[in-house]
Amino acid sequence: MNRLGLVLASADDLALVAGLARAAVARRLAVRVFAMHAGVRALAGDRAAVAALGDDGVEVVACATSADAAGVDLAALGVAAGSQDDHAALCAWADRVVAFA
Amino acid sequence: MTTIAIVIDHRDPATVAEAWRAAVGVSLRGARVIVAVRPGSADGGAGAARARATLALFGHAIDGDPDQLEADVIEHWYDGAPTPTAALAARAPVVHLVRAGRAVGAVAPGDRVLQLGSPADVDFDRVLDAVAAAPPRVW
Repeated sequence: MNRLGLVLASADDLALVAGLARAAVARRLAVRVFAMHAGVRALAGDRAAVAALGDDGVEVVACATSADAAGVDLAALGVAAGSQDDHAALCAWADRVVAFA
Repeated sequence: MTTIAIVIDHRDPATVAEAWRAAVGVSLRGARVIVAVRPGSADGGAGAARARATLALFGHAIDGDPDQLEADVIEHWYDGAPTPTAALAARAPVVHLVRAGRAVGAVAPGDRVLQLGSPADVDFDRVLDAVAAAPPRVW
């Protein structure tokens, strides 16, 4: 396994996503995160975790539709605004996907 | 071809609608998509109905068995309600990652079950080893 994809669509699992991401980065795996639904609000609620993911070189993309619905400013959060196409791309790219939904 | 399963096991209509939106979304790069809805899940409304029709139109499976899925990626949209725990027939093994306060459902021969507990107590290296060995399904 060289590439790990993480999907965050739930409100309470950002710490698990962050922990898995950090452990994977320590193994020199490439890691990407796609957030949607309640996962976008979770990112907005923990800026330190988002910053740490970025510092670790983890690419974080969030669904702009979900962000608009939740009133989350992704640019201010330092998270790339994406779409469901990014969700599909993550699934195609990763050797494994762990989805918290 | 990558196979992606979306399991809908949730009683919140808005979340069910999002799961159906995700199902269409993950089809955009050519993957085969299977949607499996646990009986008792909410109706996702008009958006879900459109997504269901779209997926069917493009030949994806929209009536999968939530417990007998064989897929490279499993997105389990789950609210933690109790699920059937009957023994299953053999299928490709998965690793069940069980969040704190939740219980795993039906387990097939060859499956592995890991309790995640609270994030501070999780051995993420152990989880990564398990995930490398088989597709994960999060409960």
